Amino acid sequence: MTAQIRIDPTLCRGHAICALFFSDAVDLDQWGFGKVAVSVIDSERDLRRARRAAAACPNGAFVVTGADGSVDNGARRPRRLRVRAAR
Amino acid sequence: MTVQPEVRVHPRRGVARVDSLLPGLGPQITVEAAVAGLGDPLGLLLSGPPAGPDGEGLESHLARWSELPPLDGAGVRALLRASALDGRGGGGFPLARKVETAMLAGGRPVLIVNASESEPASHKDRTLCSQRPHLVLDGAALVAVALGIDEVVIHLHRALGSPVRVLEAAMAERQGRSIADPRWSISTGPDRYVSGESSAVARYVAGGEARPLFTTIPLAAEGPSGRPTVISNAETVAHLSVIARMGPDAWSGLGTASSPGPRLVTLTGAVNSPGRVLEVSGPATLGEILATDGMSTRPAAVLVGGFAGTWLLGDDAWQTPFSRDALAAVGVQPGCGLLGVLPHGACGLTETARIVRYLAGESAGQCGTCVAGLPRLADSCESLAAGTFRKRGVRKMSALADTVLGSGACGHPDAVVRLIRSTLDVFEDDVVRHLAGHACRAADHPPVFAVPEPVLAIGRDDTREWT
Amino acid sequence: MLAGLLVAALLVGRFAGTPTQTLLHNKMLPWILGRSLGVATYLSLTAMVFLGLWLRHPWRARFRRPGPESILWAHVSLAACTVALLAGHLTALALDRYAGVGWTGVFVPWGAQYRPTAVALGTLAFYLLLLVIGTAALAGSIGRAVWFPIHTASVVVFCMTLAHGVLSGSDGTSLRWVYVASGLVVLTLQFTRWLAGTLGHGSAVIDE
Repeated sequence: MTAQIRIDPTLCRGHAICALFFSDAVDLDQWGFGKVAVSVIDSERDLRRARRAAAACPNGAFVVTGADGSVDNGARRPRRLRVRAAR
Repeated sequence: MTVQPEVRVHPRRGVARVDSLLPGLGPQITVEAAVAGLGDPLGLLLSGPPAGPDGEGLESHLARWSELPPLDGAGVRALLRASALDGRGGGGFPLARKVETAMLAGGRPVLIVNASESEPASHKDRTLCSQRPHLVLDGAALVAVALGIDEVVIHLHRALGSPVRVLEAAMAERQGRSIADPRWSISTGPDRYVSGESSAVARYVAGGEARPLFTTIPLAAEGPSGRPTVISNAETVAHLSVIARMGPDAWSGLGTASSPGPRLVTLTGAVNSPGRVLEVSGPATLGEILATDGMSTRPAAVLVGGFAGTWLLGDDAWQTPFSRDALAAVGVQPGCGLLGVLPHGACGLTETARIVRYLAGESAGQCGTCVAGLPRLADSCESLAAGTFRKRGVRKMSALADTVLGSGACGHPDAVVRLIRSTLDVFEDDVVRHLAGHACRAADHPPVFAVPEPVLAIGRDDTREWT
Repeated sequence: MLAGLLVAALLVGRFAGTPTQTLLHNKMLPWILGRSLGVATYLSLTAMVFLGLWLRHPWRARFRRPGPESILWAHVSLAACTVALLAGHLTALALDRYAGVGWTGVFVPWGAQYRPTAVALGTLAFYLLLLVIGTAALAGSIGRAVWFPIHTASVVVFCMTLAHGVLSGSDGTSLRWVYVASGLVVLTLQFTRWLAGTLGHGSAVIDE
């Protein structure tokens, strides 16, 4: 198993929900912004927990990635930036 | 490599002893340390007479450098590998690896030459683009060949004095001479510090905001446009055009084993000519570099690698060679090659406080760590410099720095933390004096570094500011 | 915490329940229990909503403690507590033959004989609360697109509960200041948080 967890700090708004689902893997700072403590997931149970945290995060900041770095949250997560009109 | 380019090494460089045969590096040639300014024949990128406001013309460029050898993609990639050319924008990532990642990823890659040089005190890319535009364009064309594409974007800031016009004129001149060039386009982005960060540049060129992007995949594998995106610094590609002409071995021999090839540095702070760009080759020490500018005594301290760099005590810095390994041994990265000199009698804590305040205001306002952490770190630095701090404050500042470290999407907060940590380390005695409440000896010293006015936090989430 | 709130509720109910405390006899017991559990549910709900709003409020940056994890833990615990107290409140009033509510009144809006609209507010708030807590409990399975928008309805639940308490309680006067104060606190928090989210980064960090 080579899944990894990452927290997108540009999306994280400090709700701390990830810590509720997967407290072992996340360190929260004083504002509630998460930092991944253990990024590599090595058991099926942890992968389930990570997927649940990823699904529950209100900002979609909690990300589970596959071996190649592609986002693999179980469900689809739109991860395209806002494209502005022609410059 | 199919073509063996002509080797041109200047006779005054005191070359050359074959030293070792490192895998992938080819024979190592050791040279004597040399520091060259613009127009100095000891230099490579900066050799030749200083150009006028329009930059060096194609005639004079070709007269000195001759035409590029006809290389195919595999040939250029072999040059990149053999020379071990590393990125000169600050990250130091080998360009060969970026190109290979992009080739493996499949799809038509995007090539962006980053000449934005966000670091306000650094002038190397500006100097290069405005003095030697054809070296940059030659190199960019070679990377395009390596990637098998026929389109190159040169990214610059919109700021006044940005060498947009020089580059446009150079591109037009080349078209007139029907050089087999890629199609050029120039992108001009917002004048913000983090907008020069590579993911911010990629995002902007792909049509987004010029703010750093959180990525789980390297840009070279998949950029924000969905295509592999190779971003290379202007100095890096300029080196490639030299490598193609003089051969990778002779070029990498002009550096040291850990940092191949010559490097450009910018001087700032208490030097005779702030903003002066020098070309350093061989194991030249910081002392030799500063001596080239006429400095004879050791300064109090040197800020290495940019505003968000690392302090070194003058005595330590003077003997340290400007190479990746030697700098790493004293905990420093070459970064964008900025050397900021702090004279005796000036206060390193005050200068740091001004820089941190500027950097805090220059965050993109995306990540909580920058929005919440950096202004508080700037407050702490200012209190420390003003002497209104107690020991507990320093402990709290260090704890806050630990919190901030490694929790942003880009390296901006980490760089600020690195600067603060090195400040507390290098200016330990000053910290103690400031904590004891003694008046700062340098209170009346005029500011040393030309730090731009900090941007106020208001409206930092306003997307219009970033497009 | 549950026990503490129960004791607090009983005390409040005892002193503020009815003016005929001293004449307490058996057939009044469900009524007193229902009233006091109602007040306790309201207090628990208020605390829960307060913590939920506080968790991501810009002003929180000024306070290091309690940390976000503790706040979230208390928020979730209070949810369980609120559901338990609410179950007691509903059961007690449904069983009270004199209250004019009954099982119909509890579960069917406007099904009560006693102040039908006031009780209906409570019934509707009850359903909405179940929806909010239920979706939050299933957040890991149903995803943020479902649970989080529904969660913003908590303030509606709070407002409905507040109205239910004021309108259906027969002792509105003695608890008036509790209602006014809690309502003001929660609505102020909600408004300032909305304001910060509209103007800035929208997280618990802009404190100027």
